[in-house]
Amino acid sequence: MNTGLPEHEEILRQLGDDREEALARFFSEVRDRLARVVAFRLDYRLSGRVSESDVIQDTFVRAAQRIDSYLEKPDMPFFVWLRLEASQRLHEIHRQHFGAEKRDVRREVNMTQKPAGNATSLALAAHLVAQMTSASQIIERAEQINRLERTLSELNELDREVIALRHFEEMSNIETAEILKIEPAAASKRYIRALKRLKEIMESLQEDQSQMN
Amino acid sequence: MLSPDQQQELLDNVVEDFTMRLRNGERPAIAEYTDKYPSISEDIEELLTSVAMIEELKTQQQPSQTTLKREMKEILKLDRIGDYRIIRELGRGGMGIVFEAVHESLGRRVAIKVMPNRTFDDQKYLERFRREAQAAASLHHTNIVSVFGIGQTGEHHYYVMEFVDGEPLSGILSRLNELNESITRDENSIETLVEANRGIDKSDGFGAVGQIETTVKPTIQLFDSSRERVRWAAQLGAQIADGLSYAHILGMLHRDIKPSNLLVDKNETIWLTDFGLVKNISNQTITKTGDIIGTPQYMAPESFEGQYDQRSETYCLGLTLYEMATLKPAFENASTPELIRRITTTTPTAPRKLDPRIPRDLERIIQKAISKEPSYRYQSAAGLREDLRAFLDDRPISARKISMGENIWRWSRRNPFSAAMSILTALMICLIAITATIALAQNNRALVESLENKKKLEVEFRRADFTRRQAERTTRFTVESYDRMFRAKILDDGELEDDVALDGFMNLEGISGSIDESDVIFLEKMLKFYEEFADKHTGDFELVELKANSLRRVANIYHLIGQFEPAIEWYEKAIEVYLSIQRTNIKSIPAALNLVRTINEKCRALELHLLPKQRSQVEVEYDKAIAVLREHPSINDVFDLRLQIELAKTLLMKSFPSMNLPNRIPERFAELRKESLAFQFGGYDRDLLRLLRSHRGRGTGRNRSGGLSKQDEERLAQRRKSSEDAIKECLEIADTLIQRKSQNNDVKFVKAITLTRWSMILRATGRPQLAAKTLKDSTDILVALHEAEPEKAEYEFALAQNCSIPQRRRNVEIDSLNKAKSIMLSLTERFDRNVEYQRFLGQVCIRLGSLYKDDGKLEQAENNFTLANSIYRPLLEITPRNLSIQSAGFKGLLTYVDHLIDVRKSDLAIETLNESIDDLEIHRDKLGFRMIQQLYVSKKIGLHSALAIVYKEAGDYDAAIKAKQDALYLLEHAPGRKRMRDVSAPKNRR
Repeated sequence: MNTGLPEHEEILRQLGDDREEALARFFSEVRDRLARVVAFRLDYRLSGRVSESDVIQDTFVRAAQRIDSYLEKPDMPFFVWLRLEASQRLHEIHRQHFGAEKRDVRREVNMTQKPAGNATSLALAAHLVAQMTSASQIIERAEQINRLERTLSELNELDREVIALRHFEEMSNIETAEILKIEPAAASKRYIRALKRLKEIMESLQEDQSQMN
Repeated sequence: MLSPDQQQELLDNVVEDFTMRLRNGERPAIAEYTDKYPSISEDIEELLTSVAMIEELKTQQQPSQTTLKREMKEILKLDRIGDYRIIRELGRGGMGIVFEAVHESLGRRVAIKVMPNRTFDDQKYLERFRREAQAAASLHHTNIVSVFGIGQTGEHHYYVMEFVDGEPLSGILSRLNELNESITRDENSIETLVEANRGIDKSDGFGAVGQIETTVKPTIQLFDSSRERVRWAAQLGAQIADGLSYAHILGMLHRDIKPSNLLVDKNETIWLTDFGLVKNISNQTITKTGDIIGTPQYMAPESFEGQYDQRSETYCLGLTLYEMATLKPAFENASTPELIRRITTTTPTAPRKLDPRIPRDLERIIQKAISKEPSYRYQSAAGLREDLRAFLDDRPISARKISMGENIWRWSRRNPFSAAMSILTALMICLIAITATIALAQNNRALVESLENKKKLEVEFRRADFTRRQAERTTRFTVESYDRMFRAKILDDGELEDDVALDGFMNLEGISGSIDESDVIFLEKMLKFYEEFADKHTGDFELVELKANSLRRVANIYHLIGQFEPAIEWYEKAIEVYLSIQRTNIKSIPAALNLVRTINEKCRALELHLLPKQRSQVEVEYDKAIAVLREHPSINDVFDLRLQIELAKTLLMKSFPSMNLPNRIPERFAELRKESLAFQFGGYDRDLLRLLRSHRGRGTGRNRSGGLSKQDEERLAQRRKSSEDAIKECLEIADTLIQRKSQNNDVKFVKAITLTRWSMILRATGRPQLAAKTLKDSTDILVALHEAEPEKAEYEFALAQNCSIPQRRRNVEIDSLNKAKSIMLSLTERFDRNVEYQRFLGQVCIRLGSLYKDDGKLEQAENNFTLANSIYRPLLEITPRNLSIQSAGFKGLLTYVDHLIDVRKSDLAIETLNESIDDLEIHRDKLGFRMIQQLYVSKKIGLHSALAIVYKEAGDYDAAIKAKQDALYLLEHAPGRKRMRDVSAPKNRR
């Protein structure tokens, strides 16, 4: 997908020439995409307390501090690396806010390693709801969102994460593969399979629904 | 033919292309792709359907504002729609523009809402809109704006409805609110009123969907009193409920009840607008226009799960009622996710907290209507309407206290784990409470009705007699059901007989976890009925007795929740009535017993309330009780021993102040302040921890270490003397009785307890050998009693108490405490809701732990401390108002912490303390009374001080200073600071 960024080699070359300036330029290119990631992964309970743009700014600061070590070993695409930095920042924020919540079931977003349990489908539902602007719309869609959430929870974790990455973070297949540390062909296969599975589950749920009605 | 890999790649490309186009706002047809790649068309179809679904759900297409504006302008240009001549614009909202118009051929005024074309760019929605409008047109009710029809003009759809000369409730509420605030600011508010009246509701911010009248004089009125406003709210609420109920019966849901969809006209009639239309029109395309139609502010929690039924509507109506009564929305507007979080997880502030003038019944109605769990709400709008009407007529409502179920539900949401464990218990309580409450409410109503009947009594003499008897029967029935409820609530296993055992009050105290002020309020209300009846039927002994019983109950409850002053007051009222009964029934044994027992209970309360030096007052009271018994004609009855036993008990109580003195709070508070100040000025060290600890457990009654003033000693000696006399007499009575009736276990039990106390006196006065022998005699009796009646818990409990009496030799004491421990372990298992047993078990464990520690057996010590704390922690949560438990638990905690420092487990100590501070915060909400709030502050200071010490021991000076500062801050801001300064003054000078 169009990241607005040049080729990997070119990015590295430009970063090598003028680190700060190039970083800022590239960052602003992908800013919107990062914002999408943050919006999707930021726990909905924090909305109002933590603003997305703050997280993005923090991410930039973080990236500027770590760009050297990235350039020493640029083993992942630049955007994937930025996303990782953003996700780590989110991680910190979540820990900071929910770390003290002893008795709460923590819905930590775990983006760096394996997808964590139901975090994705919860994030998803919350994300969808957060976008709704009207009461009636929420009522109307609650059912759909519920269905999607149930459907997603029937998928295995990795499949679920693939869907989330491709559709909610709007990652390309290559990026998805990088993030999940699997081969692009495997990522693509998974994605196609997950979509099919999604449809099957959705249909069976619909049948249940119509039987109930 | 493609290879599988190629096919895979192709599919991914197709999906990606399709996705990108969707995201760019195109609406690519799936057929485009299937036509292009027929060999994989099935796969493509499948995949793209999923993708379209996800993307559609996800994307909020940004609306084209310009198109919308253009359309709005077009609509505004309309001066005629078919047969309707447009007069003026009434208002506009997200869904369209509302006009006042005249239906020319009929000559009637109507309101027309015209919607932009885009609203129905999907045929499906237009169909639905038509269907719903037809259904809405079939509704005919005083409180529902009639729909006359729908139509289409050019590209625009519209619907025609009844014209209501009124104003949206949302506007009225916001002005009332302003007015309310300005009145509080400024007494002279006429100008403000005029001002407020001039201000017209422009928009409530969520888009007024209904008609908005812009020129009619607002119907706002300045209510003369809050009572008027409350009645206004209830009266409007009842109207809405009536309209809703009508629609629900016809199977129609409104779907968007909120103040901006309710119109109030000049006659104080309220109208529901846009019946059933809002949802259907707004579901899809309206949001595409980007207009914010509303926030979830007025949505029921279950709506977020896609559930919606008539109970959701009563909920929404409840929210509106809430706002009318308090002038504040139940949930303040906020971001969508935040609102959803609040609506699904939090409870709005109780209306009476916002405005104490709101009657309790109305608060209950509102709270019931807005229960989170639909099954706890009114199950129909009609139910809500009935209660509102009952409220308006001053009749009893049905919503009384059933919120208990809701409470449990809420609690279980917060504590899913512990809730699961006690779900059976919870269900039981719930069942009992609800059954009892319903029965009570019914009786109550019957009672009121019979009261009304009484008025006719003077006219219809023949019926009068019948009615009177009816009324009496009703009263008695009411009292009995109330009594049943009281027992069901207090006594989980019905273990407690009317003939309360020795120290009966302590038993009551043990199970007081569930009692609170609301019981008192409830009781006091009941009392009005009793008194009215008792006063009119002074000759009816039974009725008068019922009245006295209930007075005593109120006193008991105050006593249990630690409010001694009102407790004493009510005891006195009860005693007065019992006394009058007793005087006219000199020979009655129950009359005397009731009187004496109530006096004894009052003495208990006095002991707890008065300072030790005022104890002589208490003795005077006991003497009164003793005199009643001694002068009774049947005191020497050979067959009925009740009076003698009571006499022995009274003597015993007189001889010893309560064995189990809870804190005299003000005194303790002062003590703790002193300690905290010592901490402030003298730095912190472990001696202080010990000091904090040593002051928590025992009352001042027992002074183990010296330091008594001469005065104190004299007083003590005097008291000891009178105790000895009383005990000797008591023993004599017991012996005589045993000779007469050797089979009576009650008598034996009294003797055993008396011996125990006698042995304690002997020990305190330096006769240890005799003390030991006496104690053994007592224990022997108890063992025999236990063997005879193994199911009787009080024998075992007394036995355990005997075993826990301090011994001279440590190893003997350890053995004996271990016995006590095993008895208590079995008792607590059998009676797992008796908190008094648990408290005592904890106390035994702490003592045992301390002894082991002195012996250097650290492991055993720690086991016991840990056990004690694991008992206390949940206990503290259940009984935030039980002072003896709170105090014992606090002491246990500090002992444990002290021990942890000794064994160098500072981390655990810190964790334990921090947890306790957290717990304390959680409990705080449950504490109502100021005195106990003070106790809370004291405890918190104590905990922070202890924390500072532990940190210091652990070498973490920063944290120690922080904890110390916390403690000091609390100290500074503690209630009643003045006294604290008095204490600090001399220290400062030093």
